[in-house]
Order: sequence, then C-alpha cells, then structure tokens
Amino acid sequence: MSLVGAFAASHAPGITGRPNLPPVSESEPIFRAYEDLRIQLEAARPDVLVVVSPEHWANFFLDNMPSFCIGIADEFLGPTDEKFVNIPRRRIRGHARLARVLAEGITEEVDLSTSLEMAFDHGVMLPLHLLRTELPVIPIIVNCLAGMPAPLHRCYALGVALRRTVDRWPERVALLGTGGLSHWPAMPESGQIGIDFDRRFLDAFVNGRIESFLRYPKEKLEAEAGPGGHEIRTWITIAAAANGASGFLLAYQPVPAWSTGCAVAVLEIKHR
Amino acid sequence: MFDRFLRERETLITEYRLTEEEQRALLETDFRSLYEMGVHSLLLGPLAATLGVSFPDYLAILRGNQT
Repeated sequence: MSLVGAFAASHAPGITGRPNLPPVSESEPIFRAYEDLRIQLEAARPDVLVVVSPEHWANFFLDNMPSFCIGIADEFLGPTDEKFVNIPRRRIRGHARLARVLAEGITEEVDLSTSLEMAFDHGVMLPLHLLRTELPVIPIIVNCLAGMPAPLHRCYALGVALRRTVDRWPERVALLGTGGLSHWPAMPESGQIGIDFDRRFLDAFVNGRIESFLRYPKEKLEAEAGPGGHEIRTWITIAAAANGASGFLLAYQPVPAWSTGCAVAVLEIKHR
Repeated sequence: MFDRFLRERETLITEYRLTEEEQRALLETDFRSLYEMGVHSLLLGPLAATLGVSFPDYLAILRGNQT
C-alpha cells in the first residue's frame, strides 16, 4: 500500500494572477474546490506529492523537448519569471531518493528523462500555493506543448508504470495532475471554452473510463478543446495510475476571464 | 535566451537565419506578425506581460483591433 491519493486540477494562471477578474459566481466554485482538495490531500496523509504538470517553456525549448522528465533533486525553485501568476518565489523541498527510485521503475516500461535542475512554473506552483502544502514534491513534466508530444496512450502507459513503481515502496504517495481543461492560451481565440468536450472528458475521468479518450484524434482534440486541451495528458496519467478507480468532481466551471474550463477532481484509490 | 532577447535583441537576431521581416517583427515585438509567423502563443503572451503590455491589450493586438 503506498498510493494514497490521486487528484487533478486546472492551473490557469488567472486563478492567482487575476482572481477578481471573473464574476464571483465563476471564481468561487474553483477557490472552494481547491480548499476541498486541500482537505482531501491532508486526509490522505501522504509523505510526498508527485505533481504531473505540463511543460510551458520553463525548462525545455525546441532544441530539446523530452516527452517526460522527472525532477530528481532535493530542492527546486519556483515560480519562474512569471510575474503574472502573482505567487512569491520560494524554494520547494524535493525527494531525490524516492524520485530516483520512481525514475528507475518507470524506465522499465516508459522512457523518461531526469533533471537535477528543474524550475517550477505555474503548472506546479499554482496548485502548491492554493493547497498551502509543505510536502516534498517530485515533479514529472509532460510535453503537452510543442515538438512531438507523446501520444495520449503513452501518457496512460506512464501512469501505469508510475503506479506499479509507487506500489513497491512503503512511502505514502499522493499524485496530482495539473492543467487543462479546454483552453486557447494567449491566442486570438482566448476566452473560448469547449464546455461539451470538458464535460465528456470529466465524465470519463471520474467514472474510470479514461481509456475511451486514449485514441482521441489530435485535430479533433485541438478543435474541441484548443491547443491547451493537450494538457489532458496529465489527467490521463493520473487516471492510469488510479487504475480504473472512479471518483468525483469538486468543481467544473468554465471561466472565460481565466481563458479556461477549470476543473478539480478526486479519484478514490482502492486497496485490496 | 529570453534574458538575452530582453537585453540585446539586436545582436541576438543576427545569430539566427531569419528573414528581414522576421527580424523586423522581433525588433519591434510585433506580436500579431510573430503570431501569424507561427511563434508559440505561450512565448508571446509571457513576453508581452514581461514588457508591460496588459493581457487585454495583447489580445487586441493579436486580433488586429488595437487602437
């Protein structure tokens, strides 16, 4: 027994950067859901939090863009040069020993790169900030951005390998996937939200049916959920690690002022 | 590279094989042209924020309806 929690949440920079821009009826459900998530996380009593977050040009560029990269340092710094996210910069404790163990276990099945010097952008920092957690963090960065992102089913395979490795160790591990759902980030279409896509995806996510999305065509995903929709990769990894567990939604709220269909969800881990 | 772009973009742009139009768009941080040339929006948005362009103004520029 060592996976104790599997969570996923949107990380739209506006949540902390422009908290008062949307109507309260739109922002409040998200702040309340993050507070509920904080309670869920505490109740799970994890020793370490693995955050699966998309790349946003914070660590990698077009000269070298890994599909998956795990941070194996004992300390990280964040956020990066993102004043618009309005979060004070600080050092975050890592867990190098367990991160190396995870890396070794995962690479038996899925190739991933490792990093000793990883910066945290809003994808990691915004959830950490709202959850007010001091847990040590192991980051896994997923390319949802550019170059050749791993296909959705490979992100599922990453989650399966992650779970198999976590289950071999005594530490109590919680997983948090961050990103999505539909958004057209910093684009002319910014503010558009694919509500129908978001609802269908969340329905599959909380009902243990994420497999139905693993062959979703790239063009269809981008048309329905925008280029930001590629961030469902992190949710898929979490669902895979939860191994078909169902769960519940703490909130889903389209927030045009934050340019994102915002969601927060919990999967209920069962132990035999 | 981002820091160098902010400090010495005139020198930086000569180190890459860029057309005159691409160089001009970078020198002037012409967000709309850069976007239409295919520069990723998550590079342009944060660059605009760093240069003090508000998000609504940035979007208006991309949409071609800035005043």
